[in-house]
Amino acid sequence: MSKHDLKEKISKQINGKGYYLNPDDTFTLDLIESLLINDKRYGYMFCPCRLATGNREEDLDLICPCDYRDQDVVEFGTCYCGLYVDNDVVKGEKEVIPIPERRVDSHSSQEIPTSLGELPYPVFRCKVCGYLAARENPPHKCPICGVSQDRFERFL
Amino acid sequence: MKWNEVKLLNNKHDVKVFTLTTCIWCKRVKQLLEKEQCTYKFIDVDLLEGDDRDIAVNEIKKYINKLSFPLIIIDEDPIQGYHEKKIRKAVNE
Repeated sequence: MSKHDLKEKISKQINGKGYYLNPDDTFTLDLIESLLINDKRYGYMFCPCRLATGNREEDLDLICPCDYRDQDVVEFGTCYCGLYVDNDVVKGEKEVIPIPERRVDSHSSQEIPTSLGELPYPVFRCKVCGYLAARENPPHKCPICGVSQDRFERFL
Repeated sequence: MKWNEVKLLNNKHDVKVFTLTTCIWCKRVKQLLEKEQCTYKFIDVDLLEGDDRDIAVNEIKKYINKLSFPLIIIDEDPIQGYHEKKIRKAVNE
């Protein structure tokens, strides 16, 4: 697959879902080319801006899109690499800047909570379509029905 | 662990950079240093294997808690990430 094909594929996947690729085409295509290099090296599209172990299980949370993309895009307007950005960046109202690493080094799987009071994340509900998102903040846009962040309510 | 060296005109500081070959911010740091004519050493950590990689990772962790690229060390002071103005100022002052 060429970098242009992969970009096209990602664009189709995210279209209308509140996710955006960095509008700097050269930057984005360079990153996508790096994803293809990592796919060839490791057998999975590991984040180009982080160091892979080569062990899929250990690297799982950093396979693009990584587990931290959504939180970083909501908080900083960009994912760690700058591949995914928010709509303000697309409109040219915000700049992509280097952001801190969100991943904690000793990455261990969390225990399954036994009661609602122990949930590791709050749960937000889209009041329009009922989509539930367990994360620090609701998404900028509901990936299912497309409404804006302010249409979400804290559910749990 | 072998450093690669780029020799240019600005030799005011000892500049070392830990990079990944796939990281676009890392490429930008190298381009910036070259634009500033700054002599620097770099190591592409993703190309290292075995002991060399462990040595590089341990070296990085002497300066910062979390593994993060690019890491620029200017006379032992770390700058984490492509902070263009900060890097430009540090290599020229």
